[in-house]
Amino acid sequence: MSHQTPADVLVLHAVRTLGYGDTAHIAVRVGLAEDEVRDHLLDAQAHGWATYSSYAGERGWSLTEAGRAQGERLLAAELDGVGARAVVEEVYRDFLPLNDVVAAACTAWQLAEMGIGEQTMTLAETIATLQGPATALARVEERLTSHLHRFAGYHHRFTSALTKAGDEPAWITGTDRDSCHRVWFELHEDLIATLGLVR
Amino acid sequence: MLIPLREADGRCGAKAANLGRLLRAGLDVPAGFVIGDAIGDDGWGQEIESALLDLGSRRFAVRSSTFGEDGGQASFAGQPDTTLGATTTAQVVQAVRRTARSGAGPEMIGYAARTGQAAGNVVPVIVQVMVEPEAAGVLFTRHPVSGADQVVIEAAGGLGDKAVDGTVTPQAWTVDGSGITGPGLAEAPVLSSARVLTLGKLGRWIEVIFGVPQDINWAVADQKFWILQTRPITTRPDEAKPDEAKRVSSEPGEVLLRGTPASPGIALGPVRVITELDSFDQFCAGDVLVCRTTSPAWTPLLARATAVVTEIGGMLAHAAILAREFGIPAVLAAPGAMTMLADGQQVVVDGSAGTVTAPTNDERNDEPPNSG
Repeated sequence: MSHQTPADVLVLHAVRTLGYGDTAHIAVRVGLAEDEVRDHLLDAQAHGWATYSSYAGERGWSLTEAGRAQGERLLAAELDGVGARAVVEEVYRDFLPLNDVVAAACTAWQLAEMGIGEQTMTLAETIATLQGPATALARVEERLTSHLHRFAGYHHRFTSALTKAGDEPAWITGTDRDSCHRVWFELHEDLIATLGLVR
Repeated sequence: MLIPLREADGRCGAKAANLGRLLRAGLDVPAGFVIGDAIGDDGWGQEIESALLDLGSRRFAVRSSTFGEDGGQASFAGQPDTTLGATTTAQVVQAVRRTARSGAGPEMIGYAARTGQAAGNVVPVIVQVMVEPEAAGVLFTRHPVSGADQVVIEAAGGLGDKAVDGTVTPQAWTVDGSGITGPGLAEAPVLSSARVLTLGKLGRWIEVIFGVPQDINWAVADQKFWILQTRPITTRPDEAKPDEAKRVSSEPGEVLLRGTPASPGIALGPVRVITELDSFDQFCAGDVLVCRTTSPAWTPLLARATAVVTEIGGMLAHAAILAREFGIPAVLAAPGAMTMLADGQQVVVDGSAGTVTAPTNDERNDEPPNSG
C-alpha cells in the first residue's frame, strides 16, 4: 500500500515544487481544501519555514532556507521510513536522460519560434519528440507512487499540456500555465528535494 | 513659469512628462500644471492664483514630478513630496515650495547629467485638480510573477493610498483577454466586472502609447477613469551604490565574464547577486540576476529581471528556457559570476555573444539615470 504523506508535509513540499504560489494554487496542487491549506501555511510561516510576500501586485507563498531544509528533513525521514530510497535513486538516474530530451526539445522549439539557430523544429516534431518522455513518465510515476502516493499527477499534467500544445504552442514552455516544461521542472525539483540533492 | 500639464515634456520631470503624453493621446488625467523651478524662478507666484481658478476646483493635489522610491510618498530629503487636498492659494504655494525642496530624485540627477547642468536640489512640481475617487489602485500590464501577457489590477475603496502603502490588502483581478480572475466572494468587490475590463483595456492602451509594460496608478470618480501616474514596470530609481570594495575595476567595454550564450538579446542593468531564498527580497525589478542556478522558486525573479547570469547550467538549463520565455538575455555557466560581479555595478549582458561587459560611454548614456 502506497504511503500517504501527511497534509502539513504535502503543503510545505508543494510550496517548494511550485516555487511561488498563492493559497488557492497550492490547495489545488495538493488536493485539499483552501482553509486547511491556509492553516498549514500559517503554521509554516510561524515556524519561519514559509514566507508570504508580494512581487509588484502579486502575493504568494515561498519557502525560506529554513523551510527548504526542514522540508528535506521531512522528506528524507519519509523516504527512509517507507524504505524507498533505492527506488527513488534509481528512478532519478532514469529521469536524467529523459530530462535532457525534454530540455533539448523545449530549447529547439523556442529557438525555432524565435527564428534563430540552425535547427528548424516544427511544432509537430516538438510534440512527437515530447511523446517519448511522456510515455516514459507513466512508468516513472508508477514506480514512485507504488511507494509514495504524493508523486501522483505528473504524468496526467504533462500529457494534458502536450495534448493542448497542438492548438496552442504556449503549452510547451509557457510560464503562465501548467506547461510541459513547468510540469517537468517541478518533477525535477521534487526528485531533487526528495533525495536532498543540490542542483 | 507655469507649464500646462498637456504640454509637459522631459524638462518637467518624468511623472509630468508621462502624464502630458497621456493627455495628448486623449486619456483622462486630472487637469493641472507644472512648475519647473519653484525655488530659483519666482515668476510663478503671480500666475498661480488665476491658474488655480482656471482649473475650476476647490481641492488640489501637489506632487513631485519625480518618481519616488516606490511610486508612493517617498522623498529623498526626508520631506513629504505630496500634499493632497490643499484648498487655498496660500496652501498650494506652501505645498509647492515644500515639494520643490523634497530633494533631487535620481532621475533629476540623471537628467541634469545628460543635459550637462548641475542637478541642484529643486524638483519640478505638479499641481492638479484633486480627484475624489470611489475607488483607486494600481495596474500592471504584465503579470509581475509569471511574466504572462495579462493585466493585473489592484483596487481599494476611496483614495487608494492605503492599498499603495500596504496598510490595507487590496482586492486583485487578473485580466487575460476577456477573461477575469477576481477576488473571492467573501467581500463585496470594489470594482464591477465591466469596470475591471475597461481598466484592462485602458492599461493596454497606455502600454501601446509607451511601448513597454507599464505600472499605472488610477482612480475612478464620476464614472470616469483617471490616470494619476504611469511608469515602465522595469524602471526603478536605484539608491543602491556599487560595493566599491568588491567592485572589479573595469574599462568601458571591457569583457568581465564569459559564459554560454543561452537566451538572445543585449541588456544593461545593475547587478544583484542572489545567493539564497532568504535574500530574494533584495532583488528589484530591472536588476541583472546573478546566481548559481535556479529552481522553481526563482521564476518570479527571472520574470522581473533585465537579464540573468548563472555560474552553472547551459543552453538546455531550466533557467535558459525560462529566460527565453521572458525574452531576457541569459549568460549561463559563467564561472565566478557571483564573486566577480558586485551588487549595483552596471553591466551589459549579451545573451547572444555570451559576455558580460562594462558599459561603454554610449551605453552609459542610455542607462537608468541613477548613477549619473
